[in-house]
Amino acid sequence: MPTKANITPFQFYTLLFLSRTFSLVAYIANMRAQLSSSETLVGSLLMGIFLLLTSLPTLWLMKKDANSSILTRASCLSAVYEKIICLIYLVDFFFYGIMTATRFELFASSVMFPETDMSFVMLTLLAASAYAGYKGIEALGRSAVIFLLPVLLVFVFVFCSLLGDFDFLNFTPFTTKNLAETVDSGLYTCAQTHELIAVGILLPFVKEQKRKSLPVWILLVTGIIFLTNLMLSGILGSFSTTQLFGMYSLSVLAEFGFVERMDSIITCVWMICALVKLAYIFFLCDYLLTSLFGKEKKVLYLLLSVAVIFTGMLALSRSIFHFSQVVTSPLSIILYLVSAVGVPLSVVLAEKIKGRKQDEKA
Amino acid sequence: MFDKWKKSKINLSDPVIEEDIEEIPEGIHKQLRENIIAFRELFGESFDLVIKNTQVNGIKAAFIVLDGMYDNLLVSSAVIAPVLEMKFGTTEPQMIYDHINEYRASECDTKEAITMQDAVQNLLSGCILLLIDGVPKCLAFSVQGYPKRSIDQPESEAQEFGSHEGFVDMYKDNVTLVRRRIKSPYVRFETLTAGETSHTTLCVCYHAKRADPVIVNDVKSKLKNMQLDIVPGAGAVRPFLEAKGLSFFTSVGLTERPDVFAAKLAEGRIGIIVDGTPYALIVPYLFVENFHSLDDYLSRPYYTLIARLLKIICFFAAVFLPGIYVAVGTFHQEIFPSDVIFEIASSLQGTPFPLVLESLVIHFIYEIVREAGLRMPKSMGHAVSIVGALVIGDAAVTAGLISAPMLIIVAITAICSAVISPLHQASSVLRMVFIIVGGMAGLYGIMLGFGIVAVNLCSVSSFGVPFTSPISPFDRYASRDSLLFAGWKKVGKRFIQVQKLRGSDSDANKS
Amino acid sequence: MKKLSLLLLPLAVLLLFSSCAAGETELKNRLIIEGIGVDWDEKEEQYALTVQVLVTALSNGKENTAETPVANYTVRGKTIAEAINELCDTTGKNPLYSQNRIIILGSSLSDDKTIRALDYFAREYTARADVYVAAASGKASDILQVAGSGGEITAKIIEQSILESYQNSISVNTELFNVINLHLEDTTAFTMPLLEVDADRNGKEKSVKVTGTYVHTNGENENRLSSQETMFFLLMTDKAEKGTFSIESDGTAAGLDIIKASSKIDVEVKDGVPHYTIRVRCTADMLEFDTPQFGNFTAEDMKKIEAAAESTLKEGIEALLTRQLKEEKCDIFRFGRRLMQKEPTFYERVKDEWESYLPKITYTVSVSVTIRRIGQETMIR
Repeated sequence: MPTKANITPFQFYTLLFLSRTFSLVAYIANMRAQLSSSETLVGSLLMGIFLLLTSLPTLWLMKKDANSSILTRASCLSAVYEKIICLIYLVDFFFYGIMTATRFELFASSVMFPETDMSFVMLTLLAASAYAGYKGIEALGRSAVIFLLPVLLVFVFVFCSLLGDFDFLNFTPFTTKNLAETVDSGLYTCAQTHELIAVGILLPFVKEQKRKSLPVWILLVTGIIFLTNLMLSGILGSFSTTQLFGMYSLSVLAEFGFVERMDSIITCVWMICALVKLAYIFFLCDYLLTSLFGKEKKVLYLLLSVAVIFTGMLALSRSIFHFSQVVTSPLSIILYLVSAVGVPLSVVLAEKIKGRKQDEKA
Repeated sequence: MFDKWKKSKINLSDPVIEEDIEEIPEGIHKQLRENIIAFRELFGESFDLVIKNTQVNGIKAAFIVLDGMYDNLLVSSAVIAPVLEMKFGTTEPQMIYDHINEYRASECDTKEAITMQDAVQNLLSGCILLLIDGVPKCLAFSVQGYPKRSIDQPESEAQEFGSHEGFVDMYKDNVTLVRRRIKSPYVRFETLTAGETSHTTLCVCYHAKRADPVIVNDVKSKLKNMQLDIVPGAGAVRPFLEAKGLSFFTSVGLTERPDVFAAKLAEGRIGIIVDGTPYALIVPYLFVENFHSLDDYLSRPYYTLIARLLKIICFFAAVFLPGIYVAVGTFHQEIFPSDVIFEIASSLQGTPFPLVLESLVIHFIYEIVREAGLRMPKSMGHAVSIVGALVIGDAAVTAGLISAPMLIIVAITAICSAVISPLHQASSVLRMVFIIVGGMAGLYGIMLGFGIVAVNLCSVSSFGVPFTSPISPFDRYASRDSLLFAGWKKVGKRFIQVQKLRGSDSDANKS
Repeated sequence: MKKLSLLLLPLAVLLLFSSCAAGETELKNRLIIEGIGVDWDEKEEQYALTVQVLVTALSNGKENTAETPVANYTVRGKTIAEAINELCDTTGKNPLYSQNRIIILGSSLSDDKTIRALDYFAREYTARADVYVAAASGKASDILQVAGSGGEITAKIIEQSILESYQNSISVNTELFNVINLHLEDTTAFTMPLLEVDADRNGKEKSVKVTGTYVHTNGENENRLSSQETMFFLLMTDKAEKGTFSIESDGTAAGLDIIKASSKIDVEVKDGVPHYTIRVRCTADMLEFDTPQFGNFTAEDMKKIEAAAESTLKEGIEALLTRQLKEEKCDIFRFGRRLMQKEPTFYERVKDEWESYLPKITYTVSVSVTIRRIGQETMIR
């Protein structure tokens, strides 16, 4: 697998930012717990704190060697260990791929084409994403920079056009009544940011100062999530709690002069984020499968990934109830903690122990 | 019956039948008579092969030339008269040959051909050959005088403020045009031949101090390894230089202007002038250059910004507008403003066909009219205009076959397509694709298609330079001449070398 | 293999995407809905919907009319969805809700049915959350079927009337999402513009008028705000953009046009009772000074008018507060919400009995009016 550093940190983190943005716009509110507006906002801030904390192992990993992938470093410790990590990550990204595809399917079947069977559309999206993943991280990184502008413009348009409807009266005071749910919400939202896991794997592809950019990226992600929740609460108020996709409801209201009813166009732009997200997941799956099996068979691995994600999506999206069962389970949090914290921490600690033993021998 | 068809079917993978390959003898014979026989056999019954037997200083000799390829006056005054009037002390053929080579025919360029291949090539290039009995070599005098086009305005790249000189069909004239514009000894013009039958001369041009030698060698190697029988034009060479992988957009530039060509060489690019065609190729080529023109550099920067933005908008309109209209009309009717929807719905009411079909048909008809306009004799121009305007424009709408808004969309698309002529072919095809996609999956399909095209574009590298550079990867200095032009005072401070743009292979090696 | 896949791929994509086109219809086959009126038929115990749609004439051989032609369809059903289905059966076209400008709720709808009716529009994916919602003083069908000059009044004109009325502080302006948002607040009563059919003296020429504000209550009482009361309501809730009102001082009247207004409401709990301090600031231009002489307007007159305007507005606001809080027991001012933000613990104690608690609430109103311009006439110092 060619691992030449060929994308800049800006391209890399833009790719991850767009990927995270999709989770934001397709977020189904209040599935885990009914939270008030202020609790949601506090949850967003908590998410940022959790994200920074859980990124510490990755930062520690980068401190020692920012150019080697976590898999390469694990292989230096033990070949079996590398395979185990590969497997964990593979399961992770298959899971995230299935969740992403399911979220998109639910989104599309609720607001895009409710009267159409979405299976074929999803298959097309997955195929397109697999093709984009096939093109490699360079193409994804470069195209992410191009896609960033319309995505940001859409956010700016939605927020600016609705500023007039912002009402502080729509907010509720923060109480400690639902503190556990608020913390859980923060943790769950943090667990949605699986892009952090990808950082450790894709390090060799990124050149220059990637270590400094990670906290900046975390701040930006926290910022956009906080701002979105702020606008949702401030503009829609309690109405947002009745809607499946709050961001979509917000886009329905956005208008400026004769420019109105732009929700289809806004949704299209967000769809690009879905394409980017799935594409980089496919790229990672291919990379992990290559590392696992040692042979480079891009087309086969991508087809396999498409098949797994599509099958999982079909099973989960049969009814929103099935999806909610997975969402409300602690599975995503456990997977995240294991992959984002456990694995990098174990690699770093194992390297330290190995280093000490070598020093003792010497 | 089918067995017979199978046997008679030509298998493309089979080697070509030997009778088709020309066999040129290897060496030039010492005997004049044998040489003459060889030439006659080689050229067969061709009327234009002229062999004039004569004597030079008492030794048998022969002039061989192709009728119509030489300048009469020049041949007589520069070659034949000096050679035939020669009075030399010896009758030794080799000495006579050397004397002629060194002292005679000084008014024209003289080359020596040692092999028959060289001799034939020179003859075919318009030279007159002198064969002397007893000398296994021949002299080729450059006395080309075949009819050629004079330097005229470039047809495909009209500019408001630029020079009115365009490339012509003769590569030597083109080289002269470039030399006049870039008076540097470091600009190299190296020739090689391509085409097994046509032996077309290709001239590889580059600035030795600015071009990347790796890219230069890569280009030369690709040109040498081209498998072409005939090189009808620059477009035939293009595919061999394009980046790997499928793409709607070409990564090899094409220009008819020597000033543009010279400017590109100064940026470290490699140009290829193809003999017989007024178009030159340029590599590496970037996507943003499709929106650049020479006038941008000769106008005020603020106007250049507007002009380039206009071109980008026209490109997106040319590619996406029909598809978006079809998508909105079929799936996303809410986007139509409330005051306009009544008019649009009314105009669509009487039309029998779905929007997708209507759009495809009308665009297809537009392509037919455009193609007819390109190919037809000028005398028929009026008839086609009338048919196109009246029949399609008026009658079809009045008859209710197509709606008026669709016609407006086609008109806008056609005009926008003409603004970005380098991307015309790609935009024509993509337009049809997006019409179908828009009719099938609405704006979501179009956006998905756009995403795929964008990723595909970003994956292309033209000789190691990212195709979407300097937009992505973003190059701060080079971006002063991408979507905007910061003016010569800023841009002229430091020259840009295309191979050193951010994200290119040399940039990656440096880091 | 490569060529085969290149050939098959576009066909596959076409096939896959064709499934999307199966359920969709083109604009020419859609019923463009302009306005929806919802009434309740007591006799048959079902919803009676009046749907105003655009009649898209053939583009050939038809003259353009000044007004966009519309047609009204009346359909019935136990649920809104059933009624809409009947519309599809009647017209043979798929309805397009996205161009719907207004939902008018008839007075025959009880408060409970009002909320139920809105659920369809909140849930339906093509119906938009920013559609205007209004209440009819009579039947919603009467509103949509009123004939104006040259043709039937379209929902567009009603929508424009509501917008202009809101800008002139004659009525409120409520979009669907706002109605639901306010309804979800436990203590707040939502408001909507009130539409009425207005006939001329002969009773022939009818038009639709925006006469004030409808207040949703849980009880049987009809709670309405007049246009004047609506202006006071908008002023004190910081929603007034413009407005005209008259004042009288020492036998002289004046007309004032509000240019800018802002207000602030603070709450504090005093002796176990919430006390609201309402501060209204207003900048107005003088439209008219009702005296027999021209050009005799003095600075003293200006001060008198400002004082009179302040007392007019103050009295109006206090009267509105008294009526709504003590008589109607309706919290249209979101006092409960403000209390929740400021004193959440206290609010938790009283929220379940908020309606009965409203009469106990105390308030202080202070109004400040500044006259900015006096028009073309001069002022004597």
